[in-house]
Amino acid sequence: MNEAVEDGVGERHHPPRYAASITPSPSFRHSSPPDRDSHSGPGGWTLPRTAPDIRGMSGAKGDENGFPRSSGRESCATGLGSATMWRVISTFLERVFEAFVKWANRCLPLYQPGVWNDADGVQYNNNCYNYGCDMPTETYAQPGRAQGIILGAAIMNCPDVTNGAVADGLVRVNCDQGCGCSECHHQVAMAIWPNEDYHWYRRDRDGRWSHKMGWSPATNLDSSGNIITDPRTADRGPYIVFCGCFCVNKSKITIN
Amino acid sequence: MASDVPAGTVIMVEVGVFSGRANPRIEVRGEDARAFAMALKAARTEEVRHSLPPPKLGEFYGFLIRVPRPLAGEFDLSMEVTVHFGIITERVERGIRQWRDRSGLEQQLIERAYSQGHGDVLEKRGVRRTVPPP
Repeated sequence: MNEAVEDGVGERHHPPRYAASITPSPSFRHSSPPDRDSHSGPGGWTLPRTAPDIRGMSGAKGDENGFPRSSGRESCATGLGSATMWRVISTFLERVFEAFVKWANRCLPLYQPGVWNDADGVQYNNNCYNYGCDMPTETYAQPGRAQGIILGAAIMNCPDVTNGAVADGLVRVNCDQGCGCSECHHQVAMAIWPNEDYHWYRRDRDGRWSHKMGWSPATNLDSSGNIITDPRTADRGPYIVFCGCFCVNKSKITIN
Repeated sequence: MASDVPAGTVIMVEVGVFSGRANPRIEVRGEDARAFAMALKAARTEEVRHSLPPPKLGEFYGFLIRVPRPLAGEFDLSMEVTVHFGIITERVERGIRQWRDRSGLEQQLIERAYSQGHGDVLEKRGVRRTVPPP
């Protein structure tokens, strides 16, 4: 169930959810803390913390306390060394992975409504398309206009608005597959109020979606006041036709 | 002494109805623009701090009044003022200021929108004029 969370100004930091398949897998987690009497390693093997008591064992030759005389190469010491090495490798790999995730996420926009909701030039001169593309041109951008395509009320439908967006350089993508990390881009989605208007959403770094209706403030809430986790299932009011998802590489698109 | 308003002076008012498309506009020209600017200034009597509800897709989300610089300077107005839910909002140097619309400015704008042919988009969003057409 979605939460009703008061929208606010400032960054929200959440673990990334949609950076393709970039999610730390359990295998990269540290092993669970050792229990009191044994030392765990991957694969489920354990090492006793204390040497076995061999006193009374036939043929055993141990010291006065019953511990086997050590040559310095006992399996306990060797096992501990392997466990330590495994932890080092595991930690290294986890840090490499986290650095990669951070690098991949650098292109995902942050949800920072304060930047867009200035009650001034940025808010009032940029619409849903500007916000979705994360490009405040202050021209109330229209899909395709930068390429000479003019949308009219009669052609407020998925194919025509999509045509304009693709002409601007947006790339269609499967919503569930997302944009991946091969390029520096983020995911957006478009819906239509047939013969009336269009609307755009964008996916932010925190994995949630946000939008900006015309010159009104940007928000991450849908029309029911719920956080948008998927524009396909969000309350979109009369924008009942969902047209699909796109990838936006800001260095490769032109909007106006 | 009142200044003469150049004939080309236009206060442009956007009717907040669309998300993507350009919004319909109301034009207030010449002396009418001056009178409107005076009315806007006079409407700022009761200052409030009001958190407006977030807009919902498909609903009317207010009027955006764009005041040309000469008139904004003469009447000490912001160049962009919004009116919605009976609240007038202006951007000032360090934030916003809000006033309760006691003078019926919003309703006047609704009437203007209807009279300038934008009644259909407002009607579709449940915004009706209170004064019946002649």
